[in-house]
Amino acid sequence: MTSRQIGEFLADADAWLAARYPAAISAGRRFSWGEGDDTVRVFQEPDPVAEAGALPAIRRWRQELWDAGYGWIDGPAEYGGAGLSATYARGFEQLTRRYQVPGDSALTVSLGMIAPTVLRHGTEEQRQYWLPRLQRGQQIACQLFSEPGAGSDLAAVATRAVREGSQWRISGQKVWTSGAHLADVGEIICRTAHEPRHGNLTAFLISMDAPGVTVRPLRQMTGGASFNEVFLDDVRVNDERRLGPVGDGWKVALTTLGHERGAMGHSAFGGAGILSTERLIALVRAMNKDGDPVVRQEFGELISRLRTARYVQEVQAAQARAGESAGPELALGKIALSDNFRRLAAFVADVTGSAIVADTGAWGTYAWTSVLLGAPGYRLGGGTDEIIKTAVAQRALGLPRSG
Amino acid sequence: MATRDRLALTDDERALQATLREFLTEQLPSAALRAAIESETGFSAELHQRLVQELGLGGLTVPEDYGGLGMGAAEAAVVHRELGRALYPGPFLPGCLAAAGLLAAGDDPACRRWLPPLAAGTATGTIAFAGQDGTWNGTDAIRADRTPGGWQLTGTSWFVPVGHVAQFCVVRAAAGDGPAVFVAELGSSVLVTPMPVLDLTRPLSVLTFSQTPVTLIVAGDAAGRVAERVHADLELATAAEAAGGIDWCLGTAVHHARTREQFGQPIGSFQAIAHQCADMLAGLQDASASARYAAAATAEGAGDARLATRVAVLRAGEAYRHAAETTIHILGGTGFTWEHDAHLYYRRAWSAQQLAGGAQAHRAAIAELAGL
Repeated sequence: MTSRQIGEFLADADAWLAARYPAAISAGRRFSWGEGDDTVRVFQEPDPVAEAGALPAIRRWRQELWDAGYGWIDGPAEYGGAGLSATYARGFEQLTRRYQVPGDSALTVSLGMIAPTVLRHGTEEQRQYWLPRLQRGQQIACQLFSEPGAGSDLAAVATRAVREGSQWRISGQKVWTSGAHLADVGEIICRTAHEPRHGNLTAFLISMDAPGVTVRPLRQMTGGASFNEVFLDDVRVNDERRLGPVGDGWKVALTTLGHERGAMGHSAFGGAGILSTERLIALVRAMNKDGDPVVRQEFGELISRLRTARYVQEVQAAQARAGESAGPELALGKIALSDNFRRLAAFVADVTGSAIVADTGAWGTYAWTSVLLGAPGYRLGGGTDEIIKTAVAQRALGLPRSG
Repeated sequence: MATRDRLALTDDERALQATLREFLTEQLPSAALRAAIESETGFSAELHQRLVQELGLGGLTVPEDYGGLGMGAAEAAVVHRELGRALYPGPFLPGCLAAAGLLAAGDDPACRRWLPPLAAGTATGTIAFAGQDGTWNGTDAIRADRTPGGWQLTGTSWFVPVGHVAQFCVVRAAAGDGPAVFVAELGSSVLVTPMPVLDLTRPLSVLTFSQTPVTLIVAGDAAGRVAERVHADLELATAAEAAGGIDWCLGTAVHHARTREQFGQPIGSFQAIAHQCADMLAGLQDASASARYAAAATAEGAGDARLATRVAVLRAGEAYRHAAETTIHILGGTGFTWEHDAHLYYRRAWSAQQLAGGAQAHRAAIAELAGL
């Protein structure tokens, strides 16, 4: 790979995007206090009707990308990818921010977690079948892992899969499933034997419209509903939809979870990407607190943590480019993210005062309640902070298991 | 090159790191470190000569024209990290800072006079920028007078590293109505008084000048910029040393947590211990990445270099203090003994954070540099 080649690639891509999509309104424009919508987005929690309505455009966007060879830039050529390095994929992703494209936010689980799992654990036939469909947005996938009785202790899943000839019959209940209401297919972890604990789980890809699958929205403490409960009542699935060997579901699940933690920490740059320094500064000024030495101390502390989260991500990306393999400590990025959200919530609450608890009508003040309400979710999502610390202590530091 | 292209270690940097790690593990085990800090000078002159002669550390950042290796901020940070990991007590950092002051001032005769012997290890250099409150803000503590025979300094400088063995120092003083930076030869007209110190591996002195003849190297606003450059180098080095120190702390704590048994099992199997170790690893990531980013941004002259440096010294410094304290705690009673080296790291962590400006000053600077 030379810089000339990537330069040409990006120039072609830019021309392709420019011919199809209008330039982004925000491109090159700086944040301006008091202008436009003051929503502070923490989770993707769009109105369900609007969200479903946006899907056809998202699927069209993915199909167009696929047809033009930009659908899976760093994917292997044998499954329809362009076979280029991650640098090309990142460069293209950055380019798309300059245009009004439908985006991939509804496909985070599909592309960021399920597709890599199929690539790693799928049979040749499954890869040939699923990977192009997932990348094209033709099939949208969700992750059916947690259950009422199996949260942090995921290996305790009670949903049963019983073999019957060339089919399996699945019954049980899943919960906290992001995007199940939009998904065509779900990666499900089921119990297929009693013992041993981690060796009796098996993964499948089930159709979300199969008879016996019921999806109910779950309202979160933020007021939004991006999660669901999923009930499975004697759902039939062919054995060819099994992902990995019978009894190997734990390994398959770990692959998916590994991608989830990485994706969470990375997508928001440990909190720095979601909210701009400019906006925080404008808030402090609007509240007339820019001369307050205590506020300046707290601001300096917060910025140092947000920046550091970004530096960690950038150094890890550079090490990956240099061919160094990432270790289990990558998951710590998720803790940096949840930690930074809590600190951000505390800072904006201190600066905003009473205007964060009741809407005075002042621009950009009450809007911060979303950060305050969303922060506890980040400590839980993608594995609780405690589960991640335990896993990192055992896998990265070699500390012994308890018991 | 952009900052992001300098973030991964190069093969040369990796080799430098490995060489230093091996050298210091062999030559500076705990017993040798203890012997050095209990000696009169506080370090082994013989070991320092080997670092200078065999590895060229004396002139690491000194341009080749002045007899050094001409390396930049990124390579220097690799060295600071390894020396910090071993709590190397010799005069390497003060020499780097003296070189930074001379080079930033850009006075060729002074560079020719002092940089080659510094690089060759025949002279020890240091800096004298701090007042009695430890800050670099005041220049009133030392007065510079112009006499027919040249400039003379009168007054006191505090917290001067390795002042007790240095042959020369780069010193800031008030010259008339503005600041100026001089080079002083530390001879009979300078009284050197060792200060009782928290960090046993980093001796500090008070220098009292009385009509000491000195050489002016820069005056006016440029003198302020030289001080800022030297302070930025001190911050970069402190952040890198902290990353090395945390690495030692984490390794020590994890080894103990794996092997020490209580209630019939290794204490590392208890989440209360395991989670503190994971937190230390997160602190190591933060310190390593921010120190590396700041060094790369400085080497590339990036616009965010100053902000990144303040972020690095704040976060690495805080993570170091936390890691050193956690290590003592995980070691239990053993960690609180004089015999165990943990307190040497604890002392270094607290001392280094203050000597580099202190967390409050860093936070205030970050707020300003970020635009508030």
